[in-house]
Amino acid sequence: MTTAENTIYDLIIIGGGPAGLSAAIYAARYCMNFTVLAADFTNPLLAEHKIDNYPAVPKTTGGELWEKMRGQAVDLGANLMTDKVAAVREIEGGFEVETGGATYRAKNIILASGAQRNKPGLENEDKFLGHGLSYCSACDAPFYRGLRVAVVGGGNSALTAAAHLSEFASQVFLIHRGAELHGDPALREKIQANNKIEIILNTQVTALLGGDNLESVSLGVSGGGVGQGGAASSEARDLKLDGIFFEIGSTPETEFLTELNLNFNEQNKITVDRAQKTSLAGVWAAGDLTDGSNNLKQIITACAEGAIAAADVFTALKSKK
Amino acid sequence: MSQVIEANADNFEAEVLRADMPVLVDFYATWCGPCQNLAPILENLAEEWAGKIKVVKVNTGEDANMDLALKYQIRNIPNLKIFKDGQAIYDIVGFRAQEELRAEVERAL
Repeated sequence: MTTAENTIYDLIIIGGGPAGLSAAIYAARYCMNFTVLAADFTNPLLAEHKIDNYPAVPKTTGGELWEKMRGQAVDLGANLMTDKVAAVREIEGGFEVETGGATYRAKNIILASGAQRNKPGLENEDKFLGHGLSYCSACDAPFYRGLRVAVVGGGNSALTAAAHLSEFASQVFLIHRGAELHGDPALREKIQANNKIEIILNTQVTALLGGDNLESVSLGVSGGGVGQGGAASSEARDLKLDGIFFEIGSTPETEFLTELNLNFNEQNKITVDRAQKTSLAGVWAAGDLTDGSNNLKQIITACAEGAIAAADVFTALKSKK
Repeated sequence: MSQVIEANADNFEAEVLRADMPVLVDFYATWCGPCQNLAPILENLAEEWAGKIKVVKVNTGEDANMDLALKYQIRNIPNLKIFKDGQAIYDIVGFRAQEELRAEVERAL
């Protein structure tokens, strides 16, 4: 274990998605002495195939938008370090951030580590990853040309994945445990009008079956009764498939924060005030892991939260001088 | 100069199957964000492993390479395969941080 330099940063930003990079852009403009630590700078943004609601950048992709944000932060002088944070703890006058191989110190912290996608928790999940099971339709859709695939989920990510897959696959089943799809109405209409997509409501995947590759899945009726619109599956059955994509939401990435006395809400999101301050002085949080922005978890709100947090860190630093 | 060799359907046999050392092959595509993230990590590791483990990448987005992707049953990318003596002996699916990837590959060999 080495202590990385003797530097005590004004600020360490943990996370390299839209919230962390926006905080970095603002911190750079405020000439703070700061660094950004992220496990791998990979984040849910990169998996977004199509983004149509980010102002001034129409018809973009997650990768493209992220690359622009990253480039902008670096051009302004941000130092981005790939290092997975294992723990954050309070020390005299600030915080210590421990990674696998080093320890960093800072007066202030912005937590922007985002959320990790949920996995279904089915047997054989690891076995079929790469052999029919995927969590990234943007990456893998072209490998399913002419094949039968399913998307599990009912929100925007699931609808976007189903639409994208329908450009390649021969048939797409959209399997949702609820009685109706969520997601933007515009997207829902598009899905409902797409004759390659069959919507299966009130249904859960209960087993992944096959040899080396996924060959079929078992479906079971989920609680919640018969749905309105779309075909409701009425009994347990198997569905022949070549691929399945899970888009079933995400959980805040907060495991490394157990040593900090932070307040969480019932969804395990960090509670923040209007300045993105957490319940612990010196710690701010921004993006998918907070309860901020009226719980609208979008790229634009993550960026805004990152900016607000960095600006408030600047105010706090100034007031201490 | 980059230590990572770009392979395709034409030179796959020479660069990978008949290589005189283990080869880590990265099946990737330009549209895949996690693949882009992996690129600098592979550059670093290729340099570190020079003379011991060869690092090769195959762009599955090129139509000409689709047959390779099909042959090796690529369904998810990034997909890394370790080849030894012409045989694929180990599979890594999805992004890995540098430390993780180094450890996993070295363990597999």
